[in-house]
Formats: sequence, structure tokens, C-alpha cells
Amino acid sequence: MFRKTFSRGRAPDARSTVAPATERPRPDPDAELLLRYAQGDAAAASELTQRLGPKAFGVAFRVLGDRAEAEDVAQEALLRLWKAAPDWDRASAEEDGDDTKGKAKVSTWLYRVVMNLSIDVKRRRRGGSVDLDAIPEPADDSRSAADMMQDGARQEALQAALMQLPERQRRAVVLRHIEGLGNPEIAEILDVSVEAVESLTARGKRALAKLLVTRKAELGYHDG
Amino acid sequence: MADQNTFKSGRASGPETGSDIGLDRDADMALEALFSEAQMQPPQMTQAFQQGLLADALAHMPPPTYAPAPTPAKQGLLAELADAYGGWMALGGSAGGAVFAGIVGLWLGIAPPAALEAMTANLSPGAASANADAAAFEGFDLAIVFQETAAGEEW
Repeated sequence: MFRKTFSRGRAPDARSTVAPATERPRPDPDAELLLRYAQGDAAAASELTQRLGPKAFGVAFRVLGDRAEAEDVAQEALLRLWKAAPDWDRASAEEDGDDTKGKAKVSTWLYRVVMNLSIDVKRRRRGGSVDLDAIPEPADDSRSAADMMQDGARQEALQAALMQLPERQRRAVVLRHIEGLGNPEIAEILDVSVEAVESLTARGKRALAKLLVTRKAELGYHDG
Repeated sequence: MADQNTFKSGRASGPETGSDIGLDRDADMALEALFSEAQMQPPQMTQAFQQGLLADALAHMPPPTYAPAPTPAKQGLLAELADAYGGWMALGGSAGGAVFAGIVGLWLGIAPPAALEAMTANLSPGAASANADAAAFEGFDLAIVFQETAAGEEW
């Protein structure tokens, strides 16, 4: 399972850390840990793995819907982080050749790597490079979201419904509503505008409601 | 991350409400409840996978940037004695003089000068005189003996 070779995803663009002008950015605890890691601190390695491993795996699993693929993506994403650690300041800021721009949060950088690797996995699944949003989702061989809801497996039903969303909507919904990120950070991760994030999450949420509406009782709501 | 929910327009933004996106209130609440559950129950990693991630991290970690304390090398008897005395630095000031004094003392013991031998003999008043020089010292003033010797006289 480990050491699966991936095609290289796009390196994350770390330039657009969005914060109101009046706010000073808070120190990134992950960046401080990464600095200690780069200095050979094994305790920092352990703490970073505990903090970031579940994030990388969780978001990869929600987006890919496959545990083995999610593990591969999470492992590769963290490997890239470890390799970037000695030059983190430079690597996170000079992607577009301008060192004066702000540094990305480590977690933002990682989410972006995970998303790019997940796109690679999806492309390999489909056997080539295509516009993912241009084609309909393939029919899911597993049980439908409604069937799962009937069994009371609410989270499995949510995951099944997520897998039926178009790719970009799914990524936006996962980052917004499950990972709890703000729209500016999602825009940075997905390399789209904040307005595009708003649109993707709204459409995704509506689509999820339609997918799950056939089992309102199990979801716990009723027509008003 | 409510602090990040700031759009370019500057207005604050929480999660979209159902009415914002055309969902009825109940459907929106049900979805929000599902999302909350999903946040509370993230996909679990296996222990083996977690250990693999940590092994990767440690394998790619740069070596420590601080210099580790050197391990003291096993030292010989001489070095241990020096340490007991206070170290080589402490010995440094006295070593030269001590060695010189030791050599001089050894040489004097083996081949003492005649004058010195005679003087040490005199320091023992009860000892019997063993030769003529000593007998001379017993009966005459030392200065007279030296004077006569310088004049070539036998005594």
C-alpha cells in the first residue's frame, strides 16, 4: 500500500492568504512545529503527524470515497510536506516568484496537495485527463444513499450522496461543511474565486438535499 | 473557522442558510445536523497506517541542527591522575619546576659535590670522620683550609 507512485500534482499556490487588513495573522502552530521538525525534533514529527494525518486522510476519503486511495493520497501529501520542511518559508512563498507574499498555512498547503493528488487519482481511474465536471458521475455500484439511510447509517448515506455530487461541488462542500474552512481559504485551496466557492457550496448543498430527501423521516425532518 | 468567513465584499458569512440557497428550513437543519455528525465522526485511520505515517516523517526528518554533547573517551591512568590533581591546566604551572627539581635531586643523590658532602657530614655531630678532608674540617677553620689549598700547601 505504501510507496505507491503518483503523478505529480500541481504544487500549491501559497500566495493568497486572505485576511482583513486590520487583522494581524495569528501564528500558525503547524508552521512552528514544521520548523522544529526541520531542525530534527522527533517530538514535532509525532505531533505534526497526529495533527495533519487525520486531516489529510479525512478529506481524501470524503472526496475519493475509497479508503485505500485515501491512504495513498494522504501518505503522499505528507511525504511532500516532510520534503518541503527544510525550505518551508521559501517553498510556501515563492511559488509565483515573489518571496514578499505571505506564507500559506501548513494545513492550507496540505489540503491543496491532497486535492490535487485526488484529482490525479480520479483521472487515473478514468484513464486519462478529462474535464471532470463535464461528465456525469458514474452510477454507483454500492447501495443508494436512500438505502443506507433506511438502515440508519446516516454517515454512510451522506458519503454516498457526496459521491454523487459533481467533483468541484463535492470538494467545496467537504471543505466548507465538513472540514469547516472559510470560503477564502477554500478559494485558495481550490484555486478559484471566493464567489465561485459560494456558488459551488450552495449548489452542492441543494443537490445533497435532493439526493437525501426521499428519506426525510430517517434524516429527522418533515415537510413544514 | 468563523474568523475566516469574510468575503471580498467585507460582509461576514457563516454557513449558508437554507433560505440563502433555496432550501427549506427543515431540509437545511437536517443537512446541518448531518454535517455536524460528520465533523464529530471523521473517517478513522488504522493504527498501522498511522504508524506508517510517523515512520515516513521520521525517515525524512533532517538530522538535529544542534551538536550533541561529545561522549567522554576512556582515559588512561596518567590522565586520571591529572584529573585528580585538578586537570592538565592545573598541572601546567608546576610541571616544569617539579620535573627539574626531581632531576636535580636525583643527581645530587648519585654524585654529590665534595663540598656538599662535607657539609652534610658536619650536620651529623656524632658521626665518625671517614677521611682526611673531614678530619681537617673538624680541627680548623674552613676559611684557613681553603686559603692553604689555594696556596698549594699540603695539609
